[in-house]
Formats: sequence, C-alpha cells, structure tokens
Amino acid sequence: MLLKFISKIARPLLIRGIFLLACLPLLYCLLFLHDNSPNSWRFKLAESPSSQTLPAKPISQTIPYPQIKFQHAVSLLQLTPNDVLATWYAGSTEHNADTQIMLGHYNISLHKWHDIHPVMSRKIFLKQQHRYIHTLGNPVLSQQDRRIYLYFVSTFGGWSASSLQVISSSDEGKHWSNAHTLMTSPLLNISTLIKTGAVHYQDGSIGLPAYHELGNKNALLLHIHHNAITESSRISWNGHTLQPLVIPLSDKTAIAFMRNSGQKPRYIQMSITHDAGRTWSPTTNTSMPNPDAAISGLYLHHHIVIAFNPLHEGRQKLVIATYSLNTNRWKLINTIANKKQGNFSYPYLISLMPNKYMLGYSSNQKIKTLLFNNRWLEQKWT
Amino acid sequence: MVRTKMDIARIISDITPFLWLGIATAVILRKRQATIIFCIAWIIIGFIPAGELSVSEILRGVIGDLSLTSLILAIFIVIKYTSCPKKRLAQHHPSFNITLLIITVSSILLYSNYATPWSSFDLYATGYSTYLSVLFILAIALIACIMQNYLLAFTLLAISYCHYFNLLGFGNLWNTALDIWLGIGSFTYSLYWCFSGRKTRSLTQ
Repeated sequence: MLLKFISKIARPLLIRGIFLLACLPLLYCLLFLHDNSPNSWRFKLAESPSSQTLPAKPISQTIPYPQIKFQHAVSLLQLTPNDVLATWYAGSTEHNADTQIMLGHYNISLHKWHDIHPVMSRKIFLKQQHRYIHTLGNPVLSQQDRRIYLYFVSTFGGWSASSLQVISSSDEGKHWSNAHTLMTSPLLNISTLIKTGAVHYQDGSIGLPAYHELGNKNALLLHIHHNAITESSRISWNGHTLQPLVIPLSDKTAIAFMRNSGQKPRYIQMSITHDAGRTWSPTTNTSMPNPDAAISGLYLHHHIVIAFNPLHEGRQKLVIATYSLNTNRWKLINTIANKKQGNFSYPYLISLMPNKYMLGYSSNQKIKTLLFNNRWLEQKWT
Repeated sequence: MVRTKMDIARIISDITPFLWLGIATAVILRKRQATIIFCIAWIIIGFIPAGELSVSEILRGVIGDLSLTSLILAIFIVIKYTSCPKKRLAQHHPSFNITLLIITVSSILLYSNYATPWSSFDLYATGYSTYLSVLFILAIALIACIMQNYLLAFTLLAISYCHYFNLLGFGNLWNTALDIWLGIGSFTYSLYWCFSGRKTRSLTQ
C-alpha cells in the first residue's frame, strides 16, 4: 500500500519539485539579471570626403607575392591614415589544401606593400579547432572598438559546405586569436559564405553581409557584436542571389546590391531596408548586367559608386560606375581592366581618409589594387 | 572563456556520434545489455590518430557539431538498454515516442524553412535571441513536466541552461537543441512508430 502510494503520488511530486527547483536559478537570471533592452539598429554612416583635392593619376599595383600561383578575394581595411591592411587567400589552385589566408600592409604615402605573410592555414586551423577541413577562403576584414576582426570561411568539401570562422587582433594584425566558429546554419553549420565588407552600427556592432549557397542561394545580414551573432535577417529569399553589398544611406535606410546566379540574362539584384537591416524588400533587377560575379561599392554624395563586371557573360571587363539616388540612373565612369582573355573579378572598394579610395580586385589569379582620389572619380561623372 | 565553451562542444561532438554507433552496434548484434561496452569501444576507436587528427575530429569536420539533445537521448538509451535489455524503449518510458515526435516536427519546420525559404521569416534566426527563446522553451518544459513527460522536460531545461549561459559556444538555440542527424533519426523512428501497427502502440499505453 505504502509502496503503491510512493510510486503513484509521491514520485511524480518529487520529480516535479526537482524540476521546479532546477528552473528557479534560470528564471531568476531571466527576470532579474538579463539585459532585456532590444538592440538599437542604427547604421553608422561613413564620412563623405570633401571635394577639395586635385585629381591625381591613379596608382595601379600588384600585391608582390609571386611565390603562390593562385590569389583571390581581397578585402581591405584602413588602419591609420597611412596604413591599409589587406587580406586575401592564396594557394596552388582555388580549392587546394595548401590555401592560406594572407595579410599585407600598404603604405599610402610611399605607395608600397610590405610585411606580406600568411595568417591562417589549414595546418594552423586543425591545431586550433580539432576539426577536419579541406581548405580556407574568402577573408573579410572588419574593425570594432579598435579590434580588427578577420572573418573567413573553412570547408571540408566544396564552397557550398563552408562555415564562417573569425580571428581577431588588438595590435593591428601583429598577433591573432585562435579561430572561433560562428553558427549560421542549422544544417551542420555549413553553406554560409562571405565576400563583401561589413556595415557599422552606432552601438559599435557590425552587420556582416553573408549568403547561403547550398542548393538555394540567398543573402543575409548577420548582426555581430564582437565574436557573437546577436541577430540575423534575410536580405533575399529568391534562391539565386548571393554576395550582398550593403550600403547605408541613412541611419535606418540601406540599399543592397547582389550578385545574380539566376536565369540568363542576369542583372544585378537590388533590395532596400528602412529599418537598418531588420527587414528587406523583395529583390528586383537593376538595369546593370551581371555575369554571376561579385560587386563592390560605397556611398558618395547622393551616388553609389560600384565596381563590377558590366557583362552578361565572362569577367574580362571590370568597370567603375555610379548609381544616382536622385535619378535612379546608372553611368559608367571608368574601365579598370579590359582584356579578351582576362579574368578581373571580386572587386573590393573602400574609401580612405582623407579623400582617397582603394580598389582591390583579382586580376588573372593575382591581387591588384588601384589607388585614386575623389576628384579623379568625380571629374568623370560630372 | 570562449576556449572552454568550445572545448565542451568539442567533447560533446567527439563522444556523441560514437555513443550512437555503440547503440546501433548493440541493436544490430541483439546484445543490448552490452551497449555500454560497445559505446566505450567506439569512443576508444574515435581517439585513434588518423594523420594530423583523430578519427573523431575527422568525423566532426564532416558531420558537424551534434546537439545537446543528441547526447542526452544517447545517454538515456544507453542507460535504459543496459539496465533492462529485454524491454523496448516505449515500455521503459511511454513519453519517449512523444519526445521523438516533437523533435521530428521541430526538425521539419526548421529545415524546410531553411532549405526552401518562402518569405523573409527565418525560423533559425529566432534562435539567436536569448530572453524570448529561453522563456518559450521553459514554458514548453513546464507543460511537459505537468504531462509527466520528464525526459522532454529535463532535456528542454538542459537546453535552456546551455543556451542562456552559452555553455557550448553555439550562440543559437537551434544548434543546441537540434541537429540534422537527430532530425533524420527521429523522423525515421516516428514513421516506424506511426506505421508499425497496434503492437508498438499498445506498448506505449
């Protein structure tokens, strides 16, 4: 009788009591210790340079690292008024196990690349993460509170099996932390890649444009505070847009241009947000062709300056164009590279303070850069 | 701190697949009482070096990090098989099937929304929030506890703790709660349960 009582009534009561007791510390943390204030999503706008400088001849250079055959996907970040940090990946072929993430510094006044060295390789990654990967790729630089973050992808198979990794440095790239994996997908945490630069928010966090590539190709924006993703939003969901380029126009409005891998003829895809990236409009075609290739750009005096391949097929031509926000019209400004057998792709355009710009791009498996000032750019469109 | 968190995730991911391999071996060989021995054997195999990495580290690179739920269910099955090898899981614990059914439904919702997005709504993105998602999970855990489904209740409680304190370093509730292998496994088991006829159903009642 007593045993029956214990098993039927006392045991469930005891288990429920244990469960409720176990819940209490977590409930206390949630109700009394948790910072429940929502993230304030407001873009921090880049300073627009003044137009006082005289036009200077652009300086074109190849990053001098001839030891490695294949070099691709450059990303740039200005550290000081005279120092630009670049990262890209290099290996014997695009998808080889010997691929390394490279770093290099550019002295703006001397126009000279220096201190070029690998910062991450498969071997280092295996030691740090204890996880099999085949190769690395697509690094992107960003800065939050004076700390440099280098995001890159690692994959155990093809690019569509990529995961997002991050390392950081507090001494301008001299020493780096161990790699940390960012969770961005429920499916084995694969199929997330990056290409374009981050946008900054007023609270110090960043929005890192990313995309899923397995099966459907869709763009997304990851809201990252230091090493942690705090929110994410879909920029596109049509299945054929990737490598979003997000350009803030005000603290709440931004425009995203995307590479198009859909049916031919392809055009650059576009989407707009009015709530600092939380929600995005359905994507639409622009009038600019896109050969399923990456684009890069920035905001300048009511215009968006974009570097891209203006073709329906092939990457043999790379140009800079402007998109007027007032008239919604496109205008080709200058041809950066044009060769019948050439491959000029993966542009990365940044503004440098004061009054300068740097365009990095892949040029026939080497990394090229073009340094120019705003007057050179503006005189072409006025 | 980040290092410690990743190490916990690493230990879970290194051990869990081999626990499941041990369970599978015991079921295939019809030696359920020896489940724990098979599991230990598989875990030892996992630590064998294979080039620069161990077998478990290579496997982890390919199958990804497994969820906390996978680990809890594996431990639950190992304990039940070892203690009462003659009984079916549903006889041990009637709520086991319900738990797997809930995992199946959640997996279908999550992976279908991820693979074929129909709008800007991203179910996976909801997992980045801490406050609301943990409160929601705790509410379900409480209901499960009232319904006397203690397996589900305590699993959800463990998930809540891990996600709130980011103990695994995942940062997303869905990665802590589910993984694709668990989804496939529970889907297969749920199908078997639904179509296996009265015999299995009667065992749960």
